[in-house]
Amino acid sequence: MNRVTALISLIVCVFILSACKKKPDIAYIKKVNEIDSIYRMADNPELAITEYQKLYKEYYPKNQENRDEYETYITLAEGKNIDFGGKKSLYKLIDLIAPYGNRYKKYLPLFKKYGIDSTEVKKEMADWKKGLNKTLIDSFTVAMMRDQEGRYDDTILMAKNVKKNAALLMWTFEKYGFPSIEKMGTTGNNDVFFAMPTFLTHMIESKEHYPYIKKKLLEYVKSGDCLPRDYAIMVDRENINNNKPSEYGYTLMIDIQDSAQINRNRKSIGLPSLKHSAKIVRDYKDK
Amino acid sequence: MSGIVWQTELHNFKFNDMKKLTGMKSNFSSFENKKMKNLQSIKGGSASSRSAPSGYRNSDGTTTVDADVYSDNTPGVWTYKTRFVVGQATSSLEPG
Repeated sequence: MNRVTALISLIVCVFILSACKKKPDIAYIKKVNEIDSIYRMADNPELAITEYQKLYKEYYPKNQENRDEYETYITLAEGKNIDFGGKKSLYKLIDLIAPYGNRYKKYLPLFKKYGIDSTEVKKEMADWKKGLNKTLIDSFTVAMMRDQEGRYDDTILMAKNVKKNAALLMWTFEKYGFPSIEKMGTTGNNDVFFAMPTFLTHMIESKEHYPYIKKKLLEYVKSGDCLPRDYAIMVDRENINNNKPSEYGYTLMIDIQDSAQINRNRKSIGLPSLKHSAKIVRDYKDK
Repeated sequence: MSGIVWQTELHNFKFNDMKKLTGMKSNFSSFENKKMKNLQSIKGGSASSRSAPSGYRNSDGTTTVDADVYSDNTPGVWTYKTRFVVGQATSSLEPG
């Protein structure tokens, strides 16, 4: 009897574990790049939908800036009358677009079709906001203002501020992990904008802490917490400052000498190829 | 509308400021200092583009100035648009 119970327990555990979805990490991001390429470059939306369906069986959705993968999936599937998960998936979508102000308005007809009215959407967004980390919002509101204080003309103040911001960032890593949009949104108190690529780039100026910050950020890229783009922009700025060639293609076009190597580097951290990225940018401009 | 405003801002930055900043040493004019110290640049309000500048001293004593531009061409969707650079490196690449 005990053996039977143990076997059933084991089967149940295996079933539960296999049904558990994973947090989006670098493997997820690389897969999204592949699917995005199927849709955007190979112009095969049907295959892209199938691949997204498989992906979202395995992972919780994410909606990266400029990629908008979950929005793309739902929009494509809805357009072709393919089941994308209906109301349940739309609630996930609301949480993912909640940081972006009025973006939800674009989807109101779709929400309405599935029985979610605008009041419910706003309530869901308000609930999302309540779940943000107030300590991080307060801290990074101050940090972003401090980051810009004295820029260009007061090098002593700049150095002091970079030191404080580096300390804050490392404290955040220890206590909360990477300060992502999911944790603190896109804007802080008094509508201060969290200009994260700029902020991270300035960490280069902290000779003492930059090596550690860079190492941690790469870990956060791999865990899916930090956008690969933000990491790449920072590293390539470091390359510019040291008269080194670009690693990821963000040190401006004049430095791109070996695009094949750059594409390999980009792929390793979850960035699309230069050609694919150029298409994404063009598509975004056309929107 | 927002796209037009952003283009205008970039145009102004490029053609008015490039002349003044390219290859300059760190002694910026008071006008530029005032402009660059403007903390409103990373605040919102009705602006449809936001920028957050940086400044780096080059080994030859000149200064490279970056301005990261964020825009909401789709209203409410703030995205990183480009890093605009004036100084040693004078080109920019929009991120994908």
